[in-house]
Parts: sequence; structure tokens; C-alpha cells
Amino acid sequence: MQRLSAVVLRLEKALAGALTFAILLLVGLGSVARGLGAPQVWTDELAVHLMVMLAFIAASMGVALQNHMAMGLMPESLGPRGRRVLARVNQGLILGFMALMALLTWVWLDIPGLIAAGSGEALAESSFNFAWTDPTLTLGLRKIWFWLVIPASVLSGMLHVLAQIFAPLPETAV
Amino acid sequence: MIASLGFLILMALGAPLAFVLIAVAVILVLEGGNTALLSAFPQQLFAGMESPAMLTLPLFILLGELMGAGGIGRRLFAFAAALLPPLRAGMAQVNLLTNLMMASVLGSTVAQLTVMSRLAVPEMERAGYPRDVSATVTAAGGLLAPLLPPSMNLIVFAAVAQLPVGDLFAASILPGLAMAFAFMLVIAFLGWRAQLPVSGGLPLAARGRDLLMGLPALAVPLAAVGSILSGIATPTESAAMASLAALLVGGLIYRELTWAALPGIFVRSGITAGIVLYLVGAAQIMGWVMTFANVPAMAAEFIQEMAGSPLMFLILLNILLLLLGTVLEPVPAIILTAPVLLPVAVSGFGIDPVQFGLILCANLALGLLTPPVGAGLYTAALMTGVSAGRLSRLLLPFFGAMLAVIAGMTIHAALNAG
Amino acid sequence: QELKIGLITPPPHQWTRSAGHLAERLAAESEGRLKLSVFPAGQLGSEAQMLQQLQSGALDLAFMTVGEFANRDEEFNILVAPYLVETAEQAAKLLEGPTAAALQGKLGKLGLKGLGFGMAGMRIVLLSQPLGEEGTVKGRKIRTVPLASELDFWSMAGAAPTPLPLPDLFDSYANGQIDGMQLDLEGTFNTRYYDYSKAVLNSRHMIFPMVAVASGRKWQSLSEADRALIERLVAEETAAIRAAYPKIDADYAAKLAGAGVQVEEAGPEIFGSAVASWYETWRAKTPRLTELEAEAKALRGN
Ligand code: NA
Ligand code: NA
Repeated sequence: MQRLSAVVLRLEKALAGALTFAILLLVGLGSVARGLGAPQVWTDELAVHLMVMLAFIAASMGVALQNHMAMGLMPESLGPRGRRVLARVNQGLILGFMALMALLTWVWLDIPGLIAAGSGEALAESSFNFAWTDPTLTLGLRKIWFWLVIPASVLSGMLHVLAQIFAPLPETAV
Repeated sequence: MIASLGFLILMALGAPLAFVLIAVAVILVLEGGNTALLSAFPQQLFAGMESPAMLTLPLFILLGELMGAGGIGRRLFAFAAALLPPLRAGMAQVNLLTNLMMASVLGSTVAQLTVMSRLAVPEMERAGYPRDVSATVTAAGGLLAPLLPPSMNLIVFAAVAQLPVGDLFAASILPGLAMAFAFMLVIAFLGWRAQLPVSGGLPLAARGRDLLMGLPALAVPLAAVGSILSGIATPTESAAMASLAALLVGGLIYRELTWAALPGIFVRSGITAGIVLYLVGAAQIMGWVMTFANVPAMAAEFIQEMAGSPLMFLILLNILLLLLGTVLEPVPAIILTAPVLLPVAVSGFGIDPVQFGLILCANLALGLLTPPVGAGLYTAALMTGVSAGRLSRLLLPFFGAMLAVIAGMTIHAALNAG
Repeated sequence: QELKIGLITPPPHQWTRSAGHLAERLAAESEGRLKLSVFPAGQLGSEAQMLQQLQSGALDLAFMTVGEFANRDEEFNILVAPYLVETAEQAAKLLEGPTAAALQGKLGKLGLKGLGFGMAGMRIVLLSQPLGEEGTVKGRKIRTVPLASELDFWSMAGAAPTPLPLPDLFDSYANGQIDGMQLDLEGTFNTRYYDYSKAVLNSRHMIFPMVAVASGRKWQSLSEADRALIERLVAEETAAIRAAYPKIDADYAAKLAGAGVQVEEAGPEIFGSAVASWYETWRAKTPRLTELEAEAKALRGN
């Protein structure tokens, strides 16, 4: 499981770098195109969507790299034994959070409903759930292609934290 | 109630703040009984971050990384120091003056302090300043960005209040400069008390070399400022232009930026930006849940009933805003509070809407650096390696200076009310 | 019962004031049974977010511009056709007609219940530099929302339609990233963008419709009596908004004149041949446009 977590993390890092590069390129392109008198309507929306994808990927990476932002007042005031307990508690809390997000995402995407209805349109019509049909403004794509980063980041975040839970705590933990 | 208690406990345990915020938001929704909010919760989390204004975050973080890796930050700072007469804590004052200049182009604290963290902190450290002090001065300097025009906070307030942005910008110059001056006094005091290094003792030849070597580095800030003022780029896009300049100068002139280093720079910037963005998104959804629970309107009603005079109202307002600022980011906080508080201030107490806006925005700007939730605080912490807790303690004198200026603004607004 | 209404307009705007009035009347006429909270200035998020909230039943009511609807159903674009009507009075009448009603009927597919149309002032054009010798907007970068019909219109006029997020608008106009925008007289006065404009052109080239909607999910759960009450009161409020705008436009024209702003009259010629080409394209795309045109022609009486 640690091996799988490491592979996924490498993939996520590559993706984060590529997304950041793409954002720079898109914003630069938008600015230059406007300067040349040919503004592009789609660059901003695409850059923003890639940015949000980056945020969700980072949410999962932050678990693996343990660099999520935390106040961390307690760890400073604890002995080594207390820190080890606290590290385990935090892993449990993160797992709990990932489970919560997984549940919310499951309810929202309603995959059984989608299969029963046969298509996103049919699901929208029968239950007012537009998750699979909502359009973007200028990209000619459905939103769901970007939204899929949410379940992906929940799954990989869960993988990372499970890998930590099933590994012995390193001496240098926290 | 249960939710906020749980929030404090989980945070003290050191759990990732973004996750804690989102979990608390879910609990608040369940307590409030509006479970329909949950059926599209992940979608709203995504939508909360879908803002073009937030593009400043990844772009300026990237710019900071490129300037650091390309040796540009180092030379810019050496350039500024070479101009300096001997002065206690001189580098810290240079840092603040640089921030002041950047604030006249940039409108967002996070954008400014990400660049400055990469630019100034390593240089101050090299000059003999403790890293935490350097990070603190840099973070405080970032506060000037939204206090002086242009300012994202004032632009958002203007849209909510239907006021001309130009009026707000003009009125913000004096308090903004007062804030900068107050920060300089704090630095001078800290420099004297902590015996921070005296700078400016360089021999003439070394000064000349630093000035000459620094000239190409000036192309980077010039690309940012120039692309905005010439009408090529918006402030957000200027980061992309400056990044391009940093690539060219760092790669071709200083030859410190190599092809091999580039992927690492993009990955590092992406991770930092993503983590901060996700926290901002989490704070956003918390604000959204609070709005659904009608918290801002109830707070407005409460202070309207409590206050008997314009001054009393403004004091209560300051307290409320500072409290809100601890958990909310400035822009969502302005959107949350201005619509409910502005009518009370203007028609209830006769306060000038422009002065009200300045007080509101100054208070909420502070929120970026106050724990527990402050994107600016964590960005500075992440980029300098100083813990957020330590940083927030060291920032206290700067917060004090800012509150003193806000008090001045408050008294001025109260005297003019009616 | 607690209800919520969301809008993106700020507190002083007519739509927000009407929402407040609606809240008072709902409370009074339901004898306190229905309590409506107003969330102005995008407190609940952008219109895209509010639409999602309406669809999921988290939000109950909203006053929305047509942008999000036009993005999901092309026919909504016809409401912002150029030069449909000449005056705000005619615009109000047009929004009470059968085509508007038919469009409102299509909201059910989006998980909404349509409750009537409102509007803002007639659109005018602000330019940072005066019109050139040929007297058209050709070559100017004009800030627009990314709405297919508007992008088409400005492109056909030879201008470069430039979508720009609202917070960037002030800096961009002052620094010259864009050369112009469309607004109404009310917005022109309140933002004082006229300070940065060498030309304020009273083109009245487009109406600016608003749609009052309820959440479809929520609507199903309301009692027959509550539905009837909400339907009647919202219809009265939107009618009041439609009726108010001719006067609001006139008031702000006077205020602008009082501020020494020269508001120039401008006809379709400032858009070159865009009006004709726009109708050609969009008649083919949406046959319902022809019906709306016929109604508008009858209202104009020419
Ligand atoms: Na600024
Ligand atoms: Na804060």
C-alpha cells in the first residue's frame, strides 16, 4: 500500500507541475491575445478550472507530504510519546474526513441513480440532479470533466492516509 | 455551539485546518437542518474556488519561486541595500519600503507576500537577521497591498456598496501611508530592542558592483508594473508577464536558472498554491454556511441594538470585524458583512459610506494574518519555514500598530458622522 | 416557514429593494407563516452557484439575469436581441408577452419554477475614447459577459468582446486593457465610470431582463395556498420593477446631466451592420426569435 501511495504521489506531483505550467501559459496567452486585439473568451475559464483541480489534488498531496496547514500548538508542548499518539489521532481524523467527503460525493454524483436513469439528461429530468449535465460557460465541455477531480482526490487522499496508518511511525514523526 | 467547540479541539490537536473547517461546516448544516445544502456540497466547495481573482495565488507563488531560483531576488535586495545609508535594521526598512512600492501596483496581500517571502527573507537572513523576524516583517509589509490603491478589498466593497472605486482609492491613501509609517516605527523599535544588524556599511566599490549587477533584475518588477500601466495586463496577468521576465533574466543573463530546475519549480509552486487555495476554499464554504444560517444579519441587528452613538457603533463594528477576520478571508468577509452592515452605518448612524468602507476593509485585511484561519499567515509560514504560531506571535506589534491607525480612522469617522 | 431569496445586486439596487418589499408583504399576508430572508450582493455566491442551490433545493427563490439560462437553453438569448424595442416601457410590455411566458415555461426543465420577469435599465455604451471618423465601435475592446448572443453581436460590430471578471473592471478600464463596456444609466452614475469615458452613448440597444425563479424541488413541497400567495406577490413585485425602470432611467439621465456628463444620443449605426447580421444568424438558430420580433414590432408601432 505504501508503494501504491508513493506511485500516486509521484503522479500527483507531475500533474500539479503541469497544471501550474498550463495556468501560466493560459493567463499569458489571454493577456497577449487581448493586447493584439483578439481577446480569447475561454482562457480565463479554463485557467480557473485547472486552478481548482490543482487545489483538490494538493488537498490529497498535502496528506501524503504532511504539509497541510495546521495550527499545531499542541505538538510543540508534548513529549515524544504524546506526539506519537497525536500523530495516530490525526491520521484517524484525516481518514474520517476523507470518509465524510466520500459519502458527500457519493450522494451528490448518485451513480446508482445515473445507471438506473441511463443518462445524465434522464437523471436530471427524473430527480433534478444536474451533476452530470451542467455546462461550462465558454469551453463547450460539461463541468463533470473537471468535477471528477473531487472523487479522485478523495480516493487518493484516503490511500495516502491508509498507507500512513498501516506503516510504523517513523521516529522523526511530527 | 458543539461545532465551534469541536473546531477548537480538533485544531489544537493539529489536524489540517482545511479539513476541520469543511467538517465543521457539515456539522453546522446538520444542526441547522437545511440538509438540501449537503446534496451538492462538493460542488459548492469547487464553485467557491472558481474565481478569476484567485489566479493571483498560483501565479505570484510561481513568480516568487522563479525569482528565488534565478538569483533575481538576491540582486534586487543587494541593489536596494547599496543605496542605503548606515541604519539600524536598515534591511528591514528596505523590505518595508519595497512592500510600499509593490502595494501601489498590487492589490492582494497574498500575492505580495509570496513574492516578498522568496525575495527578501533569504537576503535578510544572509545579512544576519533571524529568519522568523525576516518573515514577520515581510508578512506585515504584505498588509499594505490592500490598504493602498489598487486594492482588491476596496474594489469588492465598492461593488457591494455601489460607490465609485475612485473615491475609495483616493480616501485610502492617507490611512495607507499612516499604516506604512506606523510599521516603520515598529521596525525601528524592534531593531533597537533586538539589536538588529546595521546595514549600509559597504565600501563604495562593492556598492557599485551591486548596483550594476542589480540592473537586469529590475526588469522583473518593471515587467509587472509596466504591463499593468501600459494596458497590456490586468494585475493578475502581470504576474505571468513578470514570470516570463524572471525566466529570461534568470536563465539568460544571470544563468542561475537551468532547464533541469524548472519542473521542480513548477511542482513546488503548484503544491504550495494548491494547499493555500484549498484552505481558502474551505474557509469560503464555512462563510457560505454561516450566511445560510443568517449569522451576518443577526450580528448586524445585535450591534445596531447595542450601540447608542456612532462611535459606539464603530467600536462594536471593529470588534465584530476583527472576530470575523480570524476565521474568514477578507473578500468573502466583505461580501458577507457589507450588505448587512452598510445600511445600518449609513442610515442608522449617519456614517460616511466611504469611511465605513475603509474601516471595514482595514479590519478584514488584518484577518489574512490572524490565526486560526489566515491564508496570508500560512502562505508566509509555508514559504519561509517559520511556524504559523510563532509568526502570529511575532506579528503582534504590527497588529498593534495597525489597530492604532484603525482607531484613528474610527474616531475620524465618528466625528464626521451625523 | 423560513424562505431565502438570493440576488447578485447590491442593497441600494431596485431588485434588492423589491426583494425586501416582497419579504415584508409575504410576512404580512401569510400572517407571519412565511419569513423571507434576503441575501443580496452575491452573499450566497455567483449566479451559477445560486442556480445549483435552487436545483438542489437549498435556496428557495432568486432574481437572476438570463446568463445562466441562456447557457443552458439557447432560446433565452433572444431576450437580449439588439434593438428589439425603443423604450423601457416597451421592454416592460414585451416581457409580459406570450414569448416571454413561453420561455418562462421552459424553466421547469432546469429544475426551476418561473415566477415572472423583471428588468434593469436599457443598455448603453461607455467608451474611453470618442467614436472615430467612421462613427462606429469597430476595433474597440468591449467588456462583455461571455453570453453567446452578446459575443456574436460585438464581433459582428467589428469590436473585440472581452470577458473580464467584475473585480478587474475598474483597473482595466482606467489602464486601458479594455476600451469600453455596456451598462445602464443607473450603473453609469453610481460607479462614476463616466469620469473615465470620453463618450457616454445613450444607445438603448438592448433590454436587460431579470427572471424571478423558485426552486422546483422546494415548490413541490409547498402547500397549495402558499404557492398561490408566493406566485401572486412575486408577480406583483416583478410588475412593479418593470414599471419602475422607465422612471429610474429618466431620473439617472437627469442626474448625469446634473453632474455635467454629456450623454450623447446614438443609433444602430454605431454598430455598423451588426444588427442585421445578428438577426440573420439568430433567426436561423432559434425560430422563436421571429415570434418575439413580431411582438416587439407591434409594440413599437412602426
Ligand atoms: Na495596493
Ligand atoms: Na484570520
